[in-house]
Order: sequence, then structure tokens, then C-alpha cells
Amino acid sequence: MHAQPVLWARLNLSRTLRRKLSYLHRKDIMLRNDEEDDYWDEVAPKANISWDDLDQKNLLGATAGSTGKLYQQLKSFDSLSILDSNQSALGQSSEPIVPLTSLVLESNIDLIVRLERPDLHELNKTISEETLIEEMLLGHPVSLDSCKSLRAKTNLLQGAVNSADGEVILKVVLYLMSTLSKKHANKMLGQHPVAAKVYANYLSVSNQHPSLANLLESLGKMREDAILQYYLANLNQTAGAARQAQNIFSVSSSHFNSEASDKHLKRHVKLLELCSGLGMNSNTTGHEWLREALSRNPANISQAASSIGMSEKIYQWISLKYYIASGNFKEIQNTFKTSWLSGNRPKSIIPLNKLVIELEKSKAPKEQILKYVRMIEDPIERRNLEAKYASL
Amino acid sequence: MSSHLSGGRLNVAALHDYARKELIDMFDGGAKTIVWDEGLIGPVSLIAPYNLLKEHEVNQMFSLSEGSISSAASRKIIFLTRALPKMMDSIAEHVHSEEQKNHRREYQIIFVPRKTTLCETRLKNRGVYGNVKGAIHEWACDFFPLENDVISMEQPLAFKELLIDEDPTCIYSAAQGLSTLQDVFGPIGKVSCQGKAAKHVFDLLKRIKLEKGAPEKMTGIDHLVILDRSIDLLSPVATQLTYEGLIDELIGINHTKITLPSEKFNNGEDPGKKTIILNSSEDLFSDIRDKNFSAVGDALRKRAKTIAAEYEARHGQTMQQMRQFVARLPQMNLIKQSLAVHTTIAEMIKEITDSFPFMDSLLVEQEFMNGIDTDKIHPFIEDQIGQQVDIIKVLRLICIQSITNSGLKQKVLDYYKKEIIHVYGFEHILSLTHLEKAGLIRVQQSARPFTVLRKTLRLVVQDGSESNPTDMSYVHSVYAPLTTRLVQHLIYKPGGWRAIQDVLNSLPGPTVMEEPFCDIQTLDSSKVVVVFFVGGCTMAEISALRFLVQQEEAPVELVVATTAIINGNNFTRNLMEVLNQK
Repeated sequence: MHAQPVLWARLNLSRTLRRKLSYLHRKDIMLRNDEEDDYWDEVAPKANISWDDLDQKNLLGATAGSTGKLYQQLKSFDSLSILDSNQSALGQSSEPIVPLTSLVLESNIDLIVRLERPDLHELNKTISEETLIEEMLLGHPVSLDSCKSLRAKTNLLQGAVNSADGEVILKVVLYLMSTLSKKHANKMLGQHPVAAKVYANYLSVSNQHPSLANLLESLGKMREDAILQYYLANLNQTAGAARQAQNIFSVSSSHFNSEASDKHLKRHVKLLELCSGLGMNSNTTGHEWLREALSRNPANISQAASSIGMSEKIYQWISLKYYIASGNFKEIQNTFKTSWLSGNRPKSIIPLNKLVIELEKSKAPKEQILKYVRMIEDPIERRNLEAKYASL
Repeated sequence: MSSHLSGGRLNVAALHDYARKELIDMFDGGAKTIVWDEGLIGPVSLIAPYNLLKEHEVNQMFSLSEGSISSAASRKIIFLTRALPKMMDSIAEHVHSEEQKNHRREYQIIFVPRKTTLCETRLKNRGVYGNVKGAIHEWACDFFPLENDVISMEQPLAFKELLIDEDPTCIYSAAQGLSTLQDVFGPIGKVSCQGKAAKHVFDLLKRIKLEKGAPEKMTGIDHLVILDRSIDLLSPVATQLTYEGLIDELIGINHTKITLPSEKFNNGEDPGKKTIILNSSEDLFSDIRDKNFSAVGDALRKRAKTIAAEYEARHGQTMQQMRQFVARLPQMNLIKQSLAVHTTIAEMIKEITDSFPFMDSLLVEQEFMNGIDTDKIHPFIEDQIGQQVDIIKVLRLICIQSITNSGLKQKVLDYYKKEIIHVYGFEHILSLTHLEKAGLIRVQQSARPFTVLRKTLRLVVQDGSESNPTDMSYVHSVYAPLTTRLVQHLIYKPGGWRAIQDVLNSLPGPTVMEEPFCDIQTLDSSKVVVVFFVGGCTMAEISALRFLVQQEEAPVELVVATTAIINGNNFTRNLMEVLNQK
């Protein structure tokens, strides 16, 4: 199990105490214990105290036992009430409150905390960026507030990226975004594409699309920004085909600058215009439009299909399937092209054996199936299929 | 302990027990109700089946995204979920609904494998974080054991996250998982990797080792091979032709289970569907799973004859022989049932594999693998688009053409894009963009690395026998997965990867060759090799590796570890952009 959130409050309290401690420590006020008077006579007080020099059992004249008693008294204060009551080995109940500073020196509060809760004391120390990242990887709660300087923040972000943990990277990035100016934050993200991507994913999944668009633009990610805008234009499918066409047109002219992308978008806009003309909704595909158009007005459809870039083969396939499904077998042959190369006989772009399979699937009349079987050029295939369908 | 997890020198069952204990320890005492993220039911059932949960006072179970939990009898509600924002929305709705009904509940959330900042933020935004704060836990189950030689992280989106989202988290999870393997099984002797993601995993693993120190055990994993999925994109999209591979392709295996209409079987426990568990605890399945499908019919017939002969042999037996027969009867009945089930499954598969659409598509696929007609607009693909077949099938064929041709000409690629957009919709511009980003479709450059790889690694083997194979190419009938060829060279060929340095240089990403990792004592009996796929592996690749181990003389025990078991359909689908999912 990881450290509990209540540690935070303890940490903050220790910090508060620590600020007071550093002030009071300069005044060099020591706690005297009656039992330790002899100690004071023998040992000169130190001017500068290193925490590392302190012996836990005999800290500046205060023994473990006396500090234990003191701890009990300190526990009675409201401001210390969040210290772990399990640490109370002496089991004494709390006493009425007196002001903290009149009872004990703040300097010794920290000593007591160090005696009773060494883990809390460790948290007070300045932690390097590397250690912060390690703590985060282990799932321990940490405060990134100690990383105040730009250099520290840069090191922190680098450490997060090196860890390859998306969660750690995101926590660091969110911290940077809240503590740095936009200019500095975006500059840092620009230097760390992995972190930028993690943040972009976060904005995308949490539907913060305007922020995402701004981020992509500031990072110079024109293509990604363009794709995002196109995605957003498509997302709003309740807007109606005409409105969506406008959205996509504006995205196309403002964001897409490659010829290939531009062509696709122009075709999409054209399709939406055609759909709008038929009163169809905005998520209609090209083949759905064609089927609807064939059902209403077959004349000049092929030109319209060509204007949205539909190939001859796809046009034929969609038309054939529509005519077969609607039982309009007369129109099938009208989709074939005549060519002087084939002696002005109608020639299908679609392989005839596949047309025959489609007819069979739709349970077309036998004579219709055999009509196209007889057009198959390969004699062996033609004979086999004739035998198969003639017996139906 | 489950029988299908035992038997290997690497005790995969230990992972199973470790993960189970961790999960159960998170359940406090008292009656409780579990509300499931459906995506977790499969993996968690591998570790903690319902009977075990019942023993630990789980009274009821509900689905997170359907229905209400008001009828839950127990006060304690445990939400077991992945770290997905939509799951947090569902949790919030349940909590608010219970509050409105004045039901006093105690909530706990167990994230698998870990919570995320996004999820915590979502809970706060939905105003329910205070209800669960202090009761949020993580069940960091790194690997789910599927077989005694297969373990999976059950992260099917790892490849997409890495290549499309550019989120490196799966690298971190993989390194942590491998570190856990080391803790459980012992030190890793040496490591080889190929590919960028594989190298990243290795670098992180080294860092973790520095922090944790080497394990104290003397024996463990002799060789760890880490392979990046990106080095071989053909294997996931090619049609698998092993029995288990075809079941996964055509029916879909979810955490070793399949669900079929029960009218296909005589004894359906439920009028609608029958769930069948597929693992090596069933002897018959263990025998036929890795065979090419064309050899399965014979294997089933042989087994049926053997059973029939045993039944017939009971006539004219002595009393003692009869007693022995009666003792064997339960086992024989089990085999008979198993035979019936697999005969039915094989018939269902055969119906599809014998059909013209399947055969035609397979023929085109194998032509591409042989380098035939790869550099032009293929009429079969055009017709498939015109006939509006499932877009996944079309995209797979285009990916195979692109990979085997080392990219497509710009005009060919533009043509396919245009046709797909017209027939399937303009939103597929985004899907195609993703496939390009992942490297499955790309514009042809001057170099043709696949042609070289095909020759030097013998990726395509003609005239190989499918019923009595002598080469691992039987798993796709003509194609040996590139990843498994690399493992073959590393483990079994003289010189290892050093002998094919030029080949490795033409693969994407860096190479690490047998770098020493920890001190380890190698046993004379057999070496333990773990092959870890970053981005997923297919059943066919697993079958090919098992075949390799059986064929070669040097005793090697091979364990496959992967981020997920993938097939061509789910691999391609996960890379597509679906607008209405947002």
C-alpha cells in the first residue's frame, strides 16, 4: 500500500515548524531538563548544529525519555493533533492546552519529530528532481513545489521523459502548465516531443479541443492541427450536410496546404453539397449518395459521381448492386461501356463471373444469370457455369 | 493450481498465485458487491474465477456500464476498472444514483493496473472523488498467465498507444512486468533486442535493475529476447492458418474462451450461447491447436477411431479388464465430448475456409507474399471495395501489398484512399492516416528491404507440407513469420544474430545482441528463453515458436510473453479512428 494522503498535512505542519525553527535556532534557546544539568556544565553549546551530528538518544542535552514526555505534552495541542497517535508509547492522555511557544522551543519540536517520526523528517529535506521522479514512479505522493527554478523544472521534465511513464510525464507537464507562463511551457514542450504528445492526448481525451488546437499551433504541428480541425468538423454531424460542408471548406482553406489533402477535402465538400441537394444527412458516404441518386434521377449521375472523384469501377459496382437489389435487370447492361476495341459490344469493367455471383446471391431469375454467363470469354469457365446454372 | 499452467521449468503458475493473492488482499472483510468494467472480466477470470470471489464474500456482480446497482444487497461496493475516463463517468452515475435513492454505501475503486491523473480529475469533475478518496487502490497485475508457455499483459492497445498516440507508458509497464518476472523466476542471464521499442524496454529494465539490485536466486531466465512489433508488420495482418489461429481470426478468442451459438452443439447450457475454454488442460486441443488447419481433420478422425476402438474392445473382456475399462470410462467420455466440440468447431471453420471469398483472398495474399503483382492497383482489391466487403479485410490486403512491396507508389496509394473514402466514408481519411503513421501503409522509397529479407531469411517457403511440416512456414502455409525466423537464428543457428548482421541492419530500430544482464547459473537440462513481443503477437507466431522447440535438438524451454494476443482483425481495428467513440 502506498503512503496515505494524510502524510501531506503532516509534511506541511513540519514545514511550518521548520520555518519557525530556523528563526528561533538563531536565538540559540535550549531546553533544560533538571536531570541533565550536569550535561550542560560539561558540554559547551555548539554555535552551528548539523542535524547529522545529533545523537538520537542525547540531542542537545535532551534525552529520549524527556523528549518522550515532552512529546506527550505536545500531542495535546490542536496543531499537533494529526501526529500519529500510535506513536504514543507512554499512553498518557492529553493535557489542557497552553501556547506552544511557552511550553517548548520550536527547535526541539523538530528534534522530537525526528525522534518519533524519522520518515516525516526525511520528507522535509530538499529532494532532487531525480528522486522526485523515482518517488512518483513508486506511486508515493510528492510535492513538485520544490522545483521552483526554470532549471529545476527542465531537469524534472527531462527526468519524467526518461522514465517513459506517461502518468509521471503528465503529472509533471500539468505542474509546469500551472506554474510557468504559456510561452515558457510551450517552449519546454517543444523541446520534449514525447511530453508534448502525452499532454496533447490528455487534452484530446478530456475533450479540451480548443486548448489542444492552440497547443498544436504553438508547437508548429500544422499537420496534426489540420487533422484535428478536420476531425472536429466531421464530429459535428448533427449540423447538417450544408453546414458541415462549410466547416470542412474553411478547414481546408485554412489548414490543409498539400495538394493531395486538398483534393480529398474538396471531394468531401462536393459530396456534402450533393447530399444537401438531396436532403441527405452529413454522414452519408459516396455509395449511399449514389444509390439514392439512382433511385431518384438516373440521368447525369455519372458526371456527378466523377465530380466527387468516384472511379468508373466503383461507380459500376454500386450501380450494378443497386439495380440487382431493386430487380431492375434491364438497367444492368446500360452500365456497360461500349468500345470500338471490343467491336462496339458492351463490355463490363466488372468481371462477369463476379456479376454472376451477385445475381445468384440476389436470387435473380435463371435467364438473367445465364445471359451474363454466356458473355464470359473463357470457354471452359463459361461451359462450367452454364452447366451449373442451367440445372437450377 | 490450474493444470494448464503447470509443467514448465518456469513455473508460470507462480505468477498466477501471486496476482491472485494481491487481488484478494485488497478485499476487506465483509459482504461486498463487485461492479465490473466488462473489459476486465476476461483477464481477471483467468486469475480469480467467480467461485473464488464467492468464497471471499462477493455476493453479487454488476456491470459498470449497464443497469443500476440499487438492488445490491451489501453496503460495500467495489468498482473494478481500467483507467478509462468513460468508466469514471459510469462510476459517477452509479454513485449519484445511489445518493438520490438515499442508499448508504461504502465505495472502493480498484484500478487495473493503475490509476491515472486523468481518471482522478474526471472523478473530481463529476463530484464523486470525495466518496472514494482513501479507498482507491491499484492491482498492478503485470502478466496474466494463459498457458504454461504463454503470458500476456492483456494490453491490446499497446501498439496503437506507442505508434499513434506516441505514449510511452506501455514501455514502462513492459519493463516493470519483466522486472516482476525476474523477481518471481530469478535473474535474466542475457538480453537480445531488435527494434526501437524493444531497446527502450531494455534500457528501462537496466535502470530498474540498478535501483532494485539483482535477484538473489542463482537460476532463472537464461536468455530474454525482446522484439518490437514494428520490425514485422506482415505477421499480424496475414491470415493465420493454424487451428487456433483460425479460431481467433474467424470467431475470436477472448482470454482463452470462445462463445458460440449453442444450437451448433447438442448440449447447450444456455439456449443462446455456449462458452468453450481453450487451453492445454484439454488433451485433444493441445494436440491440434498448433497444426495447420488442413491437418486437423485427419487428427480428429484418428482420435475418433481410437476412441471407437477402445469402446469396441470392451466386448469379450475378463472381469478385471472390464473393471479397468469402467475406471477409464469417465476419461473416455471426456475425450468423446471434446471430440464432438472440436469436430463442430472445425466444421464451422471449414464452411468459411472452403468458400470462394476466403480462398480468393488467401490466394491474393500469398501472391503478394511471393512478390507477384504488388506494385500496381490490384483488381481484386478494387472489386472487394466495390462489393463493400468488410473494410478490415480490404485494409489488411492493402497493408500486405504495401509491406511486401516495401511501400506503394503514390498514385496507387491515392487511388485506394479515394475508393475507400467513397465507399466507406470520409472519416476513414483518419484511419488511413493512422495506418500510415504505424508503417502498415507507406509510399514506396527507393530501397526494397522486404525482397532482401524474403530471400535471406527464407520467409516464403514453397512446397512445404502442411500435414507433416518440416518448416515453421506451415503456420501461414507459405510464410514463416519474420519474428520467429529471428528467434530461430538467434537460438539455434551458429553465430546467432552476428551471422545475419546485414539483415538486422535492414530492419527498423537498433539491435542488441546477447548483452549480459545478471550472473546466472545455467542448468545442463535445458535453457529457458523468454521471447517478449512489445506490441502483441499472434497465435500463429506462438505455434511457430512451439514448432521450433519441438524440431530442434538443443533443449530449450521457450516462454512467450506479450503485451497482448492479437489477430489481423483486432490489430487493424484498434488502429482505426472511429468518430463516434469519442
